[in-house]
Amino acid sequence: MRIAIVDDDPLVRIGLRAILSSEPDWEVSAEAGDGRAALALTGGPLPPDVVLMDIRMPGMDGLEATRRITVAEDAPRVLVLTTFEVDAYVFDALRAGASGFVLKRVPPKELIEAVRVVASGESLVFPASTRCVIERFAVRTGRPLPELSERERDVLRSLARGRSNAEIAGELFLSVQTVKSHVASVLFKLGVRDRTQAVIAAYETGFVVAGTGR
Amino acid sequence: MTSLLDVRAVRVLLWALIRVATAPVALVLIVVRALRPFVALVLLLVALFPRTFGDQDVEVSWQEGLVCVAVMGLMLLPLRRVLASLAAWHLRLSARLLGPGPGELALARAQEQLRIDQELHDSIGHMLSMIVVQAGAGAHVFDHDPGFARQALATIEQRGRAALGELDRIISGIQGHAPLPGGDDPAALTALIDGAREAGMAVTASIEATGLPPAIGRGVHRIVQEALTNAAKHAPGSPVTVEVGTGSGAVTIRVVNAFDGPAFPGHGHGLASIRDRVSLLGGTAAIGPAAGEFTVRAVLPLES
Repeated sequence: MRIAIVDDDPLVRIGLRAILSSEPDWEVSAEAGDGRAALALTGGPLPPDVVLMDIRMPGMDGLEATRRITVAEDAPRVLVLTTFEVDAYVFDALRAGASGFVLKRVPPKELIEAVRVVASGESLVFPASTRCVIERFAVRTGRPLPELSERERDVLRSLARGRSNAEIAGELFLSVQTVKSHVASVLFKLGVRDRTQAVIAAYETGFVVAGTGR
Repeated sequence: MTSLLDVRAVRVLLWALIRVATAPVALVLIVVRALRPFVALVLLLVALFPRTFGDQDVEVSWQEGLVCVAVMGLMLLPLRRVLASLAAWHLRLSARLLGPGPGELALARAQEQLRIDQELHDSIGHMLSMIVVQAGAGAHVFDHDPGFARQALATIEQRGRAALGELDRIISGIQGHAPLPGGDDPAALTALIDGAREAGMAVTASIEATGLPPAIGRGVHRIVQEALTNAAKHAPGSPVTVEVGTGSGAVTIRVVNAFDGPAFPGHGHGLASIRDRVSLLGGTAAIGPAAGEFTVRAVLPLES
């Protein structure tokens, strides 16, 4: 797996590179110090699978870079790096297309796990925190909810609670394979690229209302 | 904001109205006071030599008589004291009407707090994140890349130091001072007091503060500095006593000066910064006028 690190502090990049490249089969293929440089490297011949993206950077910031990177059809997944958890910027980054966020202060093992989860797309990264940020900052936009089957509605409801595919399978008495196909069809109907975006859509359409957990 | 401005406009207009009313009174008092020796001399001469200076043929109307009595009455008043208290009253009133009101003070404090939060967030948060990333990485690869771990430790040390410097800079910003080199050095405290003496203050000092932790040392320095500045500003010329003592796990700072003036809001800023610094260091402060003295007393706990 190829990983790109985008952060304006070279010492943070060095530290993250040391942690991530210690994993077998993982390669930190590129580094960038600002959003514009990040765009250049994701558009290169060997694009990364996951981009670790700092939010606040001089020049083009991580929000704009995330927005531009994730418009492409087969864009890499963006995992946002943040110093502070309770931060409106984190929601903005998720809204801009990031698949998840990770605090810079997490222990190396959790960072590695976060990258693995983002790459697989089978669960939210840090489901509780991610849900918390979305619930706190998402507003009902009047975005229409597409026609979903009863099963798909169940699946979207579970997604919004931060459940992984395996957990949804257990809750709904389905095979993981069936859940995967339901999730894929929910994402397709909502017109979003991953489950993080599906959770945001669930709140913005009013399908799930903040505070009720439904 | 609009309502704040409205309140302010009303206060300024009220001030203008009061000034219109009090200005002629003050003018008469000042003129009478200035001319008093001359008027007294004339009256004396008229009394002693009525034939030479008086003109007994002139009829004095009752209004003129009234004015004469009024002037004589004014002559007898302790005009110096009346003028001084009139001025003091104006000073208090101007501070109340033209100075920042509670709303403006609250707003200013909130803005200051926001600025401090942001600065801490941006600089210290950023540096600490980097330190944590480096420390995590160093520990993670320690066994198979000790060279990296060693380099990471050096980086952490260097950035940790920079972060502490940054913290000092931000906290100095809260106090409104540039960071002071050698603030944790007891000699700096003596130098500070010498400086005040050179500036003409009568300072009696008893300093007993060696071997303090740097943060406490800097705190003591700033509190004494702020208290001296305060004394120089609000009680110029009055002698100041500075006592710094250590004992029973705490440093006690006491700065006392004679003070009998009105407590006007100009006091606020410097003293608020003393309170900020004291609470930052987990101590207690008692600041205020009592029995003709103004006392700044702070107790800072020493780490055991």
